[in-house]
Amino acid sequence: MNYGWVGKILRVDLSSGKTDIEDTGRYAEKFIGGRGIAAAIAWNELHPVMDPFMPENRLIFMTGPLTGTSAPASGRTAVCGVAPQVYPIPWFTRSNMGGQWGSELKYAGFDGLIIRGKAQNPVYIYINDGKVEVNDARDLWGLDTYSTQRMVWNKHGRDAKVACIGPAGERLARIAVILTETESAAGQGGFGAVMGSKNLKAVAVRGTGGVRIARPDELIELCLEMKKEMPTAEHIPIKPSLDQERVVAYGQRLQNCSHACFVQCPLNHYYKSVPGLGSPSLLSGQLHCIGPVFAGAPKTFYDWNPGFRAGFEAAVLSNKYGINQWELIIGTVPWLRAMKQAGILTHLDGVEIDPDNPYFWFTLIKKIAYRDGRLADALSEGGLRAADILKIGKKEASEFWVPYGYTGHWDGRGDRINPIFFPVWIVAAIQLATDTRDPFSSSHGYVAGVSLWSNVLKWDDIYRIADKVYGSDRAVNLQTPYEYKAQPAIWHQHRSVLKDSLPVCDWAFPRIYSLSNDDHYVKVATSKETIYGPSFEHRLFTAVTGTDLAQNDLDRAAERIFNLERAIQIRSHGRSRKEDESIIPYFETAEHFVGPTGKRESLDKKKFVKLMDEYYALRGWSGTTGRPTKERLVDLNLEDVSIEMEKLGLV
Amino acid sequence: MTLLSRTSRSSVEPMPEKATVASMVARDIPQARFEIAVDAAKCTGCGSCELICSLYHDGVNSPSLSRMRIMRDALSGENSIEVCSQCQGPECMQACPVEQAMIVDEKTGARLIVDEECIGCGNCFRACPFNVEGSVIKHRPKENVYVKCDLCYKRETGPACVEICPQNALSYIEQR
Amino acid sequence: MLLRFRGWLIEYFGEREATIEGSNLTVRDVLARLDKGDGEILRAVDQRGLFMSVNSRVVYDLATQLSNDDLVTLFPIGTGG
Repeated sequence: MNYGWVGKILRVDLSSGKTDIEDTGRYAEKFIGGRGIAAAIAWNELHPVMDPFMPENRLIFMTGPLTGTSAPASGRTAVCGVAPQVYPIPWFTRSNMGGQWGSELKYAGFDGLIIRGKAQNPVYIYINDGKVEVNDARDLWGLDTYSTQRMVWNKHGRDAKVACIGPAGERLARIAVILTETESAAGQGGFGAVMGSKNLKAVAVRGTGGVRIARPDELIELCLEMKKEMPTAEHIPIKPSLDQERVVAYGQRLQNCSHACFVQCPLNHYYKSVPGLGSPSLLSGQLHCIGPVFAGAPKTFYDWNPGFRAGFEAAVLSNKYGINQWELIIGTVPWLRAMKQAGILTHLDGVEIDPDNPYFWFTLIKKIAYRDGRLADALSEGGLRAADILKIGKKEASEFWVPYGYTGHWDGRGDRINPIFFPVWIVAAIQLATDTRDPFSSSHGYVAGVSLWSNVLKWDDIYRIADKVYGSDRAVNLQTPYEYKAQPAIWHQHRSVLKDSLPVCDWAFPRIYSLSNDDHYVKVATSKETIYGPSFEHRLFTAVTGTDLAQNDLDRAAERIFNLERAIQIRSHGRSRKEDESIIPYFETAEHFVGPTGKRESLDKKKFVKLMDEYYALRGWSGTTGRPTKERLVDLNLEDVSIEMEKLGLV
Repeated sequence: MTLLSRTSRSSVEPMPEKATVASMVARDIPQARFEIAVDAAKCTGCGSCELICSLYHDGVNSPSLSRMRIMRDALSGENSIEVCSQCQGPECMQACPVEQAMIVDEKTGARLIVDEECIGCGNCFRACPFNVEGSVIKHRPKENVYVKCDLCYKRETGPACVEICPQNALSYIEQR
Repeated sequence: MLLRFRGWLIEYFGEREATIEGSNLTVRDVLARLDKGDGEILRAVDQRGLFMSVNSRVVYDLATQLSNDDLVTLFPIGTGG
């Protein structure tokens, strides 16, 4: 525990005002950090099921041993708790945030922050090199996220890193985010509303400490070598570039989104000065991920065209008010458009539903943030709940949202912009069936990776590399759609756990495919050895922490964490194979893009159920109930979990 | 004021005001040769340079220990990097009262603080016109010494920050 | 040379693949040939809604020379996220 972790977890009880320090070592060996430690805390403390707005819900900010270090793209923080967005009954799940905040928390002396309770009046937490204050935030409450950060800087200096909510979170919008800087956010899950329910406006951190590194020279060498094989996001073989017109007109530039990340993601741009349309100001901020699609994406389902400036302003507004961009672009507006096409809705309180009109966007976003009007109030509850509340459009909503309340994401149907095709999304289906949220929270590796890399590399190369990584080329072979899919699903689910626990950024790892050598398989040579892409995370982990855990120990830790999350699902929410398979109808609809077979494929339920049988068997879970067996839990060092589950008759 | 030798350094008093050129002790300072040039327009604020600096010099990842500083304004996306200019006429060296505490590396021309000789008087810290609250010359309170960029003069491939920067915002060049 | 289409291009062209005959063609020439007369394809490339790979390399320079046995793929990348 001397290296990587800084050894302390801070607990703050907003009801009593008391703070407490816990030893990270209690969790770190088995659960590493981030998502893993959060799951351990949830198992211990978040049962029985609780409403996310109850004071007893924990809001868990958890870094990992790599946060704050030179390890590439390690500046991430897991944000976990019972999530308001989940439909129909909120359960414990995860989100993740970049920026500089997590690193600063480590420098302030803490691996994580766990908040419980509810303050009587609006407060913010200020952590400064080990000292903790819970301060009055009545002058911050009501401010947007950018203004909140400015006010905190006025109070505590520009070096403080701030995670905060906007008006949406204050009003408990289930699609509210926790945001830092201009765009780095714990986006999915509605954790902004959890903060709002605790009367917690912001958490500000300042730290002058550091993270000790077990083998500094080795880490330096690893970073320099890995840099050669990390030119851009792992799943997108495209370099970023600048658009000269936008450079001149709007100050477009490349901007990093997470501390210590030297990857350049191709669709990530900062804009310094975009003239507002609704706003009289020059607007600035980052456009990343789904952000560019506010302005529409020509030739796709999202073929609206309010113009670049309007799209940018909409992105800035959603960030300032603190609302989930994926929900708005992939869910809310497509659904409203469908309602209009069906003649069920025409206006949003006097503004015509028209995504070509900038003011439609500005009005929609603001109204949702303030729950202004019946329609916006419902939409702030997330799409599936909105359909229930308004008693309209439930069928249409199920096209855009998966049953858990998250919009589609690299799944070939709810998400109609990412060019995926059969059979690649079968792995998405397996992952979604067995997860607590859209699986592309940290799972881009297979589904996005195979979809995009197959546009550049030959299929023969992809098959060859898949054989190396997954154990068989049937994992990606177009001729074997329903064969060998559980294996890559599990491989990437575990890799996803590691990404959320070490942590490292989901867009930066795992490194598999390469344009730097003729093999097209990522590898680097240090003075000691050749390291292949999939081993990068492990090497970084050992160089930072000095642990002698092997790669497969790390994989087992990932499996342990995944099984713990499953146990939480089963104990608190009665999760079973039946719930898993509730996502099948969603995938039985036709995919959005025509794929290699020449037509729009749907999921074959019979064949998929056989794949799920394989999945449960590989996982050591009962094929009937979907529950981990006692043996598997014990084998994964989850004895106490197995005892509890057995007592409850749940193994 | 004469340059002090190592044996008499315990009796020195720090200069009360910011040192000026006029009050400089005569010191034979070899030419600067190389410098780290910054192209702030290319900086994306990733922080890799700050991190590798303290990692290389101190075995710890800590921006506070780093000998360079990134200035970020998250809300406007501006980034700039403050690092020692390796001045031809270095005020820091001219203000240093201990002969062997600041020297020049022959190969790189780097203006160095020698850790074992530094008495922690802070003259360099105050004399440097570019040093804002320790942006380029830093105080180490525990050891009471000062540190600054030494162009990684012992490093075979030169400054670590230049090598790690993914945007070529930092370059290692000969001074004109 | 063989051209492969991905994503929305499949519906746009009505096929997944096409062959193009011709020597000394640049990428820009090929795009111009694919264009249906409305400039859509070239515009999409310009606005980085479409990318090209040639024989396992991504090609950004539209002046890149192609040869007859090249495998060219035209593809969108969505949002990546």
